[in-house]
Amino acid sequence: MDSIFIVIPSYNEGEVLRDTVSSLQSLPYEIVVVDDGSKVDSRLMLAGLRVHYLRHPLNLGQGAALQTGMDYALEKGADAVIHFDADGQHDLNDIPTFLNALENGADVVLGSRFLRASDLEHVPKGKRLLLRGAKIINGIFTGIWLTDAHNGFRALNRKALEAIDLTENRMAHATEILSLIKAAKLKVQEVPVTIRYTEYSQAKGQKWTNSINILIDLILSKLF
Amino acid sequence: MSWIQLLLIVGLVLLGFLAGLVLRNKLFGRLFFTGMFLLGIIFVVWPDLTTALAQLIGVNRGTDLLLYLLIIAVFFGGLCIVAKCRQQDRRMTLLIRKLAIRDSEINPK
Repeated sequence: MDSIFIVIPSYNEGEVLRDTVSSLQSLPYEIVVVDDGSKVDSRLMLAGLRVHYLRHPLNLGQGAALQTGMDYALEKGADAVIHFDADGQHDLNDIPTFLNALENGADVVLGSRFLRASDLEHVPKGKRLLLRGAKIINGIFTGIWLTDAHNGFRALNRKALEAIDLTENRMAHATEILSLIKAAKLKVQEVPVTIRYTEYSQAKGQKWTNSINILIDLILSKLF
Repeated sequence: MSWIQLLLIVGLVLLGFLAGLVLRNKLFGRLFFTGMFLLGIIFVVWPDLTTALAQLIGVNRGTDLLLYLLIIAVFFGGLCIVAKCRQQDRRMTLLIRKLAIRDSEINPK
């Protein structure tokens, strides 16, 4: 695999976006930031960095931003895409683990906080309960039973990129992607990841009430 | 014929024409709505018909029957609009995606 694209969706991220992209500069990968119609111009945050910058003229949601990044990467001949968060909660040292799993035959690699006890310790208590619920909902809706849900750290090879087209613009994409994996019979592997919960990512992250919205989105998408 | 009946008939005829105008190139929709407005006019002219019909299918009053049908129609109409909105969202997403990719920048200054 020669051409690897890291896709970072960004909505109203400030300095932290610059920090994240800066930290990735030394890696031999292409970096794609998809600004999802932020109110502030995130382009200013990226001045002088090695990065592909795309901007949605209107805010669509994280799922839509990821799909835009993946379409772009495919167009540029990517062999693989990595989904990476803008807010610094993903650890770039985990990236080789994802790429190894792809090399070893997986089509889609998903990060999990539940494979190592040490990673689980970083997850706040209330969040663990929520994640357990989300795992079960994912399993019921998609038929893919994983150890974790919705941490956003993923890798996809070209075959997976060609098969996956997210239509859930908002957060329900994280479950939709599993349905698409199942439908396309892609090979999935989970790898352990460490997620850093900073005060910033906690504040930016999802409130538990939003998980109910995701559930409603999912049910609606099944109906229409 | 009372003045209220006349008013209702005029209203229904106008709405029927409006529906015919709005539903361009939609034969099924035009036929359906023309039929509905004709039925409406028939019910206005012979109001006892609704009650007779209601009793035929086991509902007491004609107004009740109309209410039930109205509830179904409102929900059906609402769901059609939701489905249409989702379709429009999808189209807008694809358009925005095209624009974002077309206007992409490498190493912005």
